[in-house]
Amino acid sequence: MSDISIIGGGHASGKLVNNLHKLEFKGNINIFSEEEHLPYERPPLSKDFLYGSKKFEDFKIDINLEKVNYYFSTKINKIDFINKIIYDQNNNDYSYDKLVFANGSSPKRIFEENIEGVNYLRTLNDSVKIKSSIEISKDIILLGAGYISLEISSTIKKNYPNKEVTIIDNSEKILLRNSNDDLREFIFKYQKKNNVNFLFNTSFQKLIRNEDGSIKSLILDDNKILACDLLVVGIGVYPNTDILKGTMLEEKNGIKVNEYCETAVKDVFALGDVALSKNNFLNKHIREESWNNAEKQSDILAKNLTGTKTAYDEIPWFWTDQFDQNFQILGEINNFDNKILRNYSENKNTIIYFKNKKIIGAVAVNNGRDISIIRKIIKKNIVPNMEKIQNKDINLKELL
Amino acid sequence: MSDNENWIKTYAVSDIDDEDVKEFQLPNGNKIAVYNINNTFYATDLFCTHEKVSLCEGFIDGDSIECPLHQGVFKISTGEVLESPPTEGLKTYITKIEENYIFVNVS
Repeated sequence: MSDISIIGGGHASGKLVNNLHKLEFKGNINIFSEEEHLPYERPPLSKDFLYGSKKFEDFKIDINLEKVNYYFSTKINKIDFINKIIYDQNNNDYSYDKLVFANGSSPKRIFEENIEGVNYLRTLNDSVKIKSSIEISKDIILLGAGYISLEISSTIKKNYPNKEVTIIDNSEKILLRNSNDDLREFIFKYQKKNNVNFLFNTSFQKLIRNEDGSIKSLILDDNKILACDLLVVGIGVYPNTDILKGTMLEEKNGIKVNEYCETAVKDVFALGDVALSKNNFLNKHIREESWNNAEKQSDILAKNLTGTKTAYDEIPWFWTDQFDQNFQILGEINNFDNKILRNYSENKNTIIYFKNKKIIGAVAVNNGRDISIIRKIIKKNIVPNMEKIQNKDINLKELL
Repeated sequence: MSDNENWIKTYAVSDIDDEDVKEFQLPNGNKIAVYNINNTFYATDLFCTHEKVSLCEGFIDGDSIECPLHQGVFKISTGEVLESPPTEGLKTYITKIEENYIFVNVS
């Protein structure tokens, strides 16, 4: 039985290990993680964990450490694909039979140096630090109006309704990526209702520091000065492909894999946030960067590594929870030629998107049941009855 | 508690359509979900074990219930987890039908 080495210790990595054990993989498994914690799921970091209603134990992924070689706080720096050897930061070498990249992505930074009060959210430690900073901060600014910032603003306002929270973005609206105007309207309504401040079409030109070096204020493009003792930067992420520089797998926007998580190099695989994966539903390569992607790719890769060839066949799906509202996004929600709103109540809606009379995606507010049904409709390739869809009193289940 | 006291009368059989589920509050305050699957009646705890959300808002597919929040799936008859994110199974209750009412055993 061959040995598998996994670079990265996040959700995808942890679930891959457990799935391999479930499938009775008997070879050695080496995991190299830059973190000092066991793998964990990341969604709670900006929500329940940051809020305080979940503990690390609630979302960590338990791994039987007696059955693996787990290298904590270990960064793989160099890879020799020809001789199948990887090297860590201390130049220790490890040989492998099969190599898996599950090393995720990193937040884009605005400064190389670490400045007290300037934070990024990716890891458990980041979330712990932001949580303690929120408690003592008065003027909180979130840079970037993406999902991370919107979830953090929601968490802060739930805990501290009177704290000033301002989101700054250099575009004219929230959620420029992975969204559409319908979803933006839903989410923006809840953000505004809960008194989150927004400044659009602006960025900061300078950061002013206190004498101790910590952040004091931001000077915006229009020279307006905003007091700031906590800045959380959420302006996107980049895949951790730096270690591939100069190798035969050099990629910029993620490690390209087919629907089996196979890279162009034999015995080398990638999954999760770092993978630029073939998505059969969209018929293109994408980086999904979602909980579902990490969860489901770890399942299919474990099967592929143990001899059962299985293709990744998921319709992209993710959720965001803000102000106790659950928003779910399924499939393609742009590039549609028709849409139907099923308005059940003020806080419960589903919008279904069509192309050539077929459903291609949906957005649901507090209505996961519709998403479950629509996913099945899409997977079964059903051409839906439009009259039934337009009548919200008819259960979508009738279309199955 | 006598055996009789362990059986709690919930809904009339006709109150729950096939492949439907209804919420019920037990005398001790706990909430459960009562299901009709092909005219066999089941009962489980109401809330998903992953997040506190009512499974009555979920999607029933055969003998499984899919949580509306994050799509975790449980087998209704046994409570076992079929799809993550939940890791802990649902508590299930024995049911019986008497005089067209669904009784749930809370012992």
